[in-house]
Formats: sequence, structure tokens, C-alpha cells
Amino acid sequence: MRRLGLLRLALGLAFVAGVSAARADGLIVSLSSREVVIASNYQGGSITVFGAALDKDGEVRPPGPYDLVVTVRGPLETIDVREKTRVLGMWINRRGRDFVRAPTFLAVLTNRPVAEIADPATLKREDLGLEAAAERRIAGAGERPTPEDAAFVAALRRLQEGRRLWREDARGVDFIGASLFQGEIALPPNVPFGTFDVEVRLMQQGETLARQTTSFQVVKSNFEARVAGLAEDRRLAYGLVAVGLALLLGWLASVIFRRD
Amino acid sequence: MQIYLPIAELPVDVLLVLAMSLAVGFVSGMFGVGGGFLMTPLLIFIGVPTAVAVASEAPQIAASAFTGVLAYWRRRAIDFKLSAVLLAGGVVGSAGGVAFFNALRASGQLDAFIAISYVLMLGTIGGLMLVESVRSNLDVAPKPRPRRPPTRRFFDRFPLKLRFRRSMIHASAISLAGLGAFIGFAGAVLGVGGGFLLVPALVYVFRVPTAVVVGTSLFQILVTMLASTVMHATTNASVDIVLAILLMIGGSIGSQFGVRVGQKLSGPRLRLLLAVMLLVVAGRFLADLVIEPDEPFSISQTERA
Repeated sequence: MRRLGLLRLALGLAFVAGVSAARADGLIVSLSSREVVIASNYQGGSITVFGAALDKDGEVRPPGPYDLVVTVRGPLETIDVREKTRVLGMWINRRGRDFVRAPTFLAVLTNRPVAEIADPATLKREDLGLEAAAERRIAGAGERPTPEDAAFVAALRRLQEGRRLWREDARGVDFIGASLFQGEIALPPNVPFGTFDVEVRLMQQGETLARQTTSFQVVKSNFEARVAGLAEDRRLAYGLVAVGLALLLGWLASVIFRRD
Repeated sequence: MQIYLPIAELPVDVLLVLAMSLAVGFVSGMFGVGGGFLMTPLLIFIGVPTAVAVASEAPQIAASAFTGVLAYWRRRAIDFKLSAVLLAGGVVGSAGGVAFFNALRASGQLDAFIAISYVLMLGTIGGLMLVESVRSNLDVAPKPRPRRPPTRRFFDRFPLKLRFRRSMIHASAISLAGLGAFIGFAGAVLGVGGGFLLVPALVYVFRVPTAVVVGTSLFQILVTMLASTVMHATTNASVDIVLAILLMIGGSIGSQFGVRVGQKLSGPRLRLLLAVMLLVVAGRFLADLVIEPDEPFSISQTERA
């Protein structure tokens, strides 16, 4: 396994050295793949982030007390969290909070717990970690979240983690050798579709030294994409096809099983 | 074996979905009900979003209704005139139902509304059937009722009387269309065909002969569900055709076996079983409503930001 990891790292770095590598001051980053195709047998997958920390002269930085934060954000949506309360003896949705432009998928990979990397104010300002991601996006909340807001923030995080769509991994980034690093982005079976932005930050004592972004796509394979595309764009035709299928299968059943 | 549902956007086990639709098809064939009231909750339970479950059930109910319609049509046991009047109301009801469904979904009360409706409808019908079937199982004959009520009832006073020759009734088009509208509305909102509402209404309220009721009800369900399918597809794009095909295959095979078993059981015993099943489903929904949930919070994603 270890050897395989190193081999992949080597391959990744070969890719990094190529023309399409994303490069900025102090950080180069690449992904093992730019596209994940979801076909009918899809049961989850993963993408590896490779990178190296460089200093200003382009030399590999010696290992030091640095932190790496890899944030992967899936397509943004308004996520509505609701709380059931007792009404007339029944548990019914009453209060709710909207989380505006929240990532439907969010993975935060770091080399140690986010809370140790920077203070809460910085985390919130820089949108680092799940807690900050939820707090920043709550609609209509003031500077300081009320206890009720905090309950919804915790609920969003808990529910998304339960669906394996949000994840914070304090050991998700491995340093290999001097300043090479790699991290594994696990994609669950229910991964949403669209563009996933990958942001890598090199940090030291809570300050961002370098920041680099790249992205990958999660797309439906031909058949699934065509079905979903038709359902969305040619709604009437799609509905009529469903109707035709229902009639066809109903008729077939009556022919096959006819007993009179 | 997993298959990815393109609209529900989740992978499901093909064999599990087929087994579920076989079982529900078996039950529906045995009792002559659509089975939507069982299938929709099962789909929600395995993680299919409520909207997709309800919308994808519609073509499946239509397919199984069509199989039945063909059989009854060959026996000339469908009153098309009665169906036409019911449908005139049914289409209006379906459109209203789809609109209401979308409004509920937007306000976050869809699941609660569906649960309360299931409890009320299944509980009432199951309870009535239980009383009736226990009575006939015990051989206590209910008081013989006159074939026609001596007095004009409330809904007999509506104008626009029509004569339906095949059903041998003389009833107001308005009250029949109203019934059709109610069934269409319930079908669109709850993902049920409404057979378990329509059959008793036609038999007990409008006194249509049982022989004609089932075929007519199936025809009505067929058209209402086809309309529902198109409306869910055009307003929500929530019909998952892959899921619908799986449901149709399992449902049509299961119902054939169900019919065979159903014919071996006596009427009252069959109704007792059905009553118990309706009450169990109602009880399940009631329990979800009144028992404090482990997780009071829930998530829904709305429009793309």
C-alpha cells in the first residue's frame, strides 16, 4: 500500500511538473484526476491531491512547523435545516434556518485538528473547517450567533457528516519526505454533481503563507446524464415517455399473464 | 447489484427494489388495491426523496391499472360515461394536488402532511373494514339495508343529473366530479392511486354494482395517474424513469401471484387481512408523528444558489 502511495505520488509529481500544473508562490498542487464519472454501478470513489511546498527561489522548502489545509467544496446550494417540535402531540417541523450558498459537499483535510491551526475568528473569516463553513452561511444571523443558531449549525454539520457529504479529517494530509504532501478526497456514493473547488493553504501560526486552487468535475455518465438532462430540459416529452412506458409495460403484463 | 437512479441521485440495490415491488405487487393483486400506499413509504424509507418517490410511483400505478383495465374491458365491465365524469373532476384535482404538493414542499411541511393524511385515511378505512370484516367473520349479519335510500340525501340534491346505464345509477354530475377531484388531489399529493377511496365511495355512497365498480375505478386511476405523471414531470422533473421501470416489472409480476392467492381466500377473510395491513401502515406513520424523534433536525436542499 505504502509503495503504491509513493508510486502515485511520483506519478502525481510528474504531472505537477507538466504544463497543466497549477503553480503559485510557495505551493504547487495537482489532482490525480480532473473528472469523476458516475455510471450506474458507481459506489463511491476518491481523488488524490498531490503537492509540494516551495520557497521563493522555487526550491523545496525544508520541513518546518507548517500546516496544510485542503478544502474541497462541492456545488453550492441553499440548505434548509428544520427542527421538529411538538405541536398538538405531534412532532412537526417548526423552526428552521437557511444556510445560503452552502457547499453540498465539503471535505477539509489537514495535518492536525483545525482548531489548533488557527483561532476561531480566523477560521471563520477564512472559511476553514466545517464549523466555520456552517456559521458563515447561516441566513440573517448577526455577528454573534444566538444559542438557537448554534443548535442549527451543529445540526447541519451532524446531518451532513451523517450523509458522508461533509468531512473533517485532522490526519487527511500526509507530509512525505521534506515538503511533499498528499491527501485523499473520499467521494461517497451520494456525491452531488458539478464543479468541486479544491483550495490548498500553506499556513504557519494561523497565517496563510500561500494559497492555491484547482478544481475537478463530478459528471454523470452518458446514460444517467442523458436521462437527467431530458427530465430537466424536455419535461413534457420525458413525461410522455414515462406514460408510454407505463402503458407498454401494463399491456405486456396483460398479454404475458392473460388467463381468460 | 447496485444501480444508480439518475433523478433520485442515489444508488440502490436492484434486487431490494425488485423484492419490494414484488411484495407490494403481491399484496395489490391479492386485495385488488394499487399498493401505492405501501410502496411510497417504502421508497422514502430506503432514502429516495419524498418528491421522487411520489412522482415515480405514478407511472407504476398507471401500468398496473392498465393491465387491470384491459382485463375488465374485455369483460365490458367499465362504465366509460361514469369514468368521464369522474375524470373531469380528477384532472382538476390532480392539478390542484401537484400545486399543493409543491407548496407543501417549499414550506417544509410535506412529510408531516403526508404522515397525517396516511394516518387519517388508512386509519379510518382500515378501522371501518376491520369492524365490517370481523362482523362477517363472526357471521353476525348487519341489518339488511334497503337497496335505495328512501329519502333524498344531501348530494342527491345537486343539479345536472345524469343517467349511467351500465352502472344503473342516476346521479348528479357535480357530486361525481367532486369525488373524482378529491381522488385526483389525494393521488397527486400522496402518491396513491386512490382505489381504496374510490371503490368504497362508489359502492356505498353511489350504489354502483360491485361488478362495474372495480373496472371503472381502475380506468379512473389509470387516467389520473397518467395525468399525474406528466404533471410531476413538467413541474418538478421528479419522475425517475429507471426507478419506475423497476417498480413496474416487480409490481406486475408480484400482482399475478397475489391474484392467485387472493382468489383462494374468502371475501371477509381477505378484507380482514387488508384492514389489519392498512392499520399497521397507519400505526407506523402515527408512531413517527407522536414519538419523540432521535434527530429532531432535518435537511432539505432548495434551489441551486
